[in-house]
Amino acid sequence: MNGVKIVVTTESGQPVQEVTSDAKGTWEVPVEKAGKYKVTLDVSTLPPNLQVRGGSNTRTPTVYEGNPASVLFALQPKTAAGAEPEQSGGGGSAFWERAAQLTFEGLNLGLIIALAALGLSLIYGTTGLTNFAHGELVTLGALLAYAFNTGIGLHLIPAALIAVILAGGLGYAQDRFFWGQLRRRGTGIIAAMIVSIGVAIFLRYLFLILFGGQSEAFAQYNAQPGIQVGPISAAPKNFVAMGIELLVLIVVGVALLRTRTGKAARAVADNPAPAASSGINVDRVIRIIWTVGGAIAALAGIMLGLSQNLKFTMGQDILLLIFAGVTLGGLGTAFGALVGSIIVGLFIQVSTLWVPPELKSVGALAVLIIVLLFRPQGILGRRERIG
Amino acid sequence: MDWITIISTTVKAAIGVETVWYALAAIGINIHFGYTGLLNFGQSAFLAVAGYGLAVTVTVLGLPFWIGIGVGLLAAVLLAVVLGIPTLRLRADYLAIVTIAAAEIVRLVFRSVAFKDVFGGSDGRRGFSDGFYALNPFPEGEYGFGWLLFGERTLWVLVVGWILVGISCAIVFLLMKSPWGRVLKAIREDEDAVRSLGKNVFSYKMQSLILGGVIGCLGGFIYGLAYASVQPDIFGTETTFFAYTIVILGGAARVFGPVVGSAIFWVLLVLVNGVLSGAVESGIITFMDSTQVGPFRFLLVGLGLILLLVFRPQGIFGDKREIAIDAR
Amino acid sequence: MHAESAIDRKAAALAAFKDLDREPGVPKPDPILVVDNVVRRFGGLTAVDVGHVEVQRGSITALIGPNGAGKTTFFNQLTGFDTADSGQWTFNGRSMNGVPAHKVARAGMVRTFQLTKALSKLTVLENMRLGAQKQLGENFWRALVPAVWRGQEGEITDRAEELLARFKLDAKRDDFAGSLSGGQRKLLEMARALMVQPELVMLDEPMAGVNPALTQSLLGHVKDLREQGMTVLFVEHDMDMVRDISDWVIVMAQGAVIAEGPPGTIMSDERVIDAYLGAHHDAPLSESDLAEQLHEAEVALEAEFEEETKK
Repeated sequence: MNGVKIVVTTESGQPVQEVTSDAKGTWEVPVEKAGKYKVTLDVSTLPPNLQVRGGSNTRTPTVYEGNPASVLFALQPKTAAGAEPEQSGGGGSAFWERAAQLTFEGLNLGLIIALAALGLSLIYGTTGLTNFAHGELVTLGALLAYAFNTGIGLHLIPAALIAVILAGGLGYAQDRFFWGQLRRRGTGIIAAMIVSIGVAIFLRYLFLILFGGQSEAFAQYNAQPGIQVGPISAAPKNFVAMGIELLVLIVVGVALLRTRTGKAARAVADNPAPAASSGINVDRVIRIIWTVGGAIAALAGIMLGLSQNLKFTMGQDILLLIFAGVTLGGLGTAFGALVGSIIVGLFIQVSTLWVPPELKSVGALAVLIIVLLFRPQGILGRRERIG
Repeated sequence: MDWITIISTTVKAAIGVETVWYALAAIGINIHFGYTGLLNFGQSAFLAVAGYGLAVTVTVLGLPFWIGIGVGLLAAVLLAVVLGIPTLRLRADYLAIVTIAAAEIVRLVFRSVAFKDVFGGSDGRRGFSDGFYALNPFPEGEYGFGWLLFGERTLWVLVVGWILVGISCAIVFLLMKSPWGRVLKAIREDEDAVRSLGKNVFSYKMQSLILGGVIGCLGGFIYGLAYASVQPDIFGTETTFFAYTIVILGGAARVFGPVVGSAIFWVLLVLVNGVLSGAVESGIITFMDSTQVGPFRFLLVGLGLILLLVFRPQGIFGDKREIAIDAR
Repeated sequence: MHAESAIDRKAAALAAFKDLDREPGVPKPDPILVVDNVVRRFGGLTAVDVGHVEVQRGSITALIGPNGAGKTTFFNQLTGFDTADSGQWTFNGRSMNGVPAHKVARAGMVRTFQLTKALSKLTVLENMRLGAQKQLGENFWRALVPAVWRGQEGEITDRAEELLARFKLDAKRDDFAGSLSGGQRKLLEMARALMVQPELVMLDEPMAGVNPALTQSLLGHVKDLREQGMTVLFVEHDMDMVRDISDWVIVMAQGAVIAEGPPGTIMSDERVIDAYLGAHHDAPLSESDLAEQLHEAEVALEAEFEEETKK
């Protein structure tokens, strides 16, 4: 419906903006802060033969940070006053549709977390480093792709490819020139953990300086119209992204299971000392893990940038979820990290059926704490032998 | 460049509000990490529950200021117990992850729309400090000399803040010289050895967590009172990490380490900000604009933390033989 | 206590063992520690399965056995550092199963560790002081008032210095424990355990990794513990040590107690020879043998874990 005036105010009545709906009848009001808003439809601007279904021309949606809230005014032909408004039917099936939709979104998020978690977990397993800067590797990938994409003007797909390769190289360099050197100096795991915090802060603010504090989107695949698959509606890019994520995870998984390097990596992650004594070049394995870990973390960042927006804190924001995935699956176990991450992703999205979206991470973190209490070794980890 | 302003803000920073509340947070971390070896990455949550305990008691419940302080302290003790019971039996790296997760939960709940009526969402709470300023013995006016001037409100906050810092340092000094402190340091070195000598390790860790949390939470009060408001995002993980930087800068497991560290940290931050901003404005530096100066100093914080741990893990004044961060 | 001479103590201990049977689990005249059916499993592997065993008060009892026999695990069960799957044991008639490690120590049963746990960043004297029990200054509130605990601290320091002098560590009292040699750390750990004033001292391989020059001194200190009226239970590999200082020997293999007897004759017991795989039974294990056995044990463990993770 074109030309209908919408007035948005805060809960207490302070005006935010007035907009007029466009030709398709949609409108958008950017709001600064999360909170409750009051949306009023000016009935006098409606065509004379229509009215708002249900009669009330105001809505009070609650807007959460980063999540647009949609406000719908269903219109119907004007009927005689006092006529019963139509009932909207089928509450039960709506619940299941939403559940399916959220499961899909959760799976997408879980796969992204898994990409990042795999590298983090293997690095922990092989070097004992709890890397707080891993989130920044995720951001790095997204920002690199963005730079090639909008800065140089490459299409997103080659830009992403270059970014992933470059991030892999940077991962290699990070181990070759930094972490590897620290290991050689005999830096303790706690000291190394705090060093990684320094690295995280350093990179985060470097990104802020170079990229700025705003949110951006890639040049392509930006506003794709959704398609309906069964109960799920999503933009095609999401299906493709999930396909790529799955493919990469399977390739890395098969590589871990089948190739010599992969087996060596798992052996080192399991127990570095005997692995070294059985002739595995531990340093080389660690360097490969850093390279691959950096590359797939970058891919995770690009995928995250596709489904959300790019921001210099995007990696930091997801870091705890990556930790949750890794710990849930058992620190240091590669496949545990996959399972844990997908559980975390699913849990976060599906839990919004019951909890407000702004608190969805709270649930995941609470679950992480509870799991650590009862099964500190994680879901797939093994009990440590004492004595 | 306006050197007078740069120098005066820098000198003010050495004893300023930021230095005070970060010093308190860092003294707490020093007890946890420096003396007991507990990797508590959730220190910001202690500051948050204290600040919000005070704010909510006064603004939402309408109770007097002193009760608010009591509620804040109680909240910090409770948080320590709730956090400690499950986590103190875990390995150091698990403890780090659980505490950081718990702190995020606290922050997310405080900023949530669902609890906006209580905690005020992302705006936080304001208007709870009147009781504190009513006690201000300093009449209205500017205090100090030359360009080192403080308003009466700031002066009152600083006096109370530094008294708290002093008391906290005295407590840490007394405790760490005592057999109690000896048990804590021994736990940092090897828990099992301490157990085999008949000490209840869990109980000592819990006492350490509570003490460090309560001292840290005083920082939350000082922040809230100085700015007459609390916002959830002030108490994020970066606050904890900066406090860790401060502890390591001043030297872990040293009584005055956190205080000295905090003063140096903020002096450097303010000085770099002043010099760089001045240089950008007067066109000496052209590769940066004034909005990039802020992030640049935090970039330096990260770099500084890395360099410290790599080259001087004992901190600026620490003793190499005594460093708490071991090659473990 | 000190009126009795060293010979009397040794003679008394030997007399108590004189007519005992050599069967595993044989009852002793005056047991300080009685163990029944202690079982500990790791996944499919039964690390400890001890039926019945008693330790005679005032004696030096050796617990020997080949690598992987479960001696250290058994120690961990008894001292509360690991929870047994089942079983019970009494110390001085008091039931100790499920009692946490620090309470076991307070009850008078103090252990040392195979890998020494000297507290590196504390001085030798601080290490010693830590061992004292019932310290007023270990309470949070009292710690804040030095006047309350200073007197007691003085007494503790005197006792610590006396012990340090006995263990010839008095010259090192203000050094960081981390700067001591391996043997000195063993001595410090033993001296620190004595600060607890235990009735039963449990030493986990006190001679491991100590250079031969210090071994004799260590042995002397172990004998000394008995002379002062304490009971000693120690784990050891080196058969020569066992023969020299122990009054009674308990042999473990594959988690169970397989034989008991006096040190002079125990090594000729069929079951013990079998357990030690023949040739190795009376020769002290060489460094390379140890390394090899360790490696074998590790491989076995790895295999065990593989099994477990597959399940």
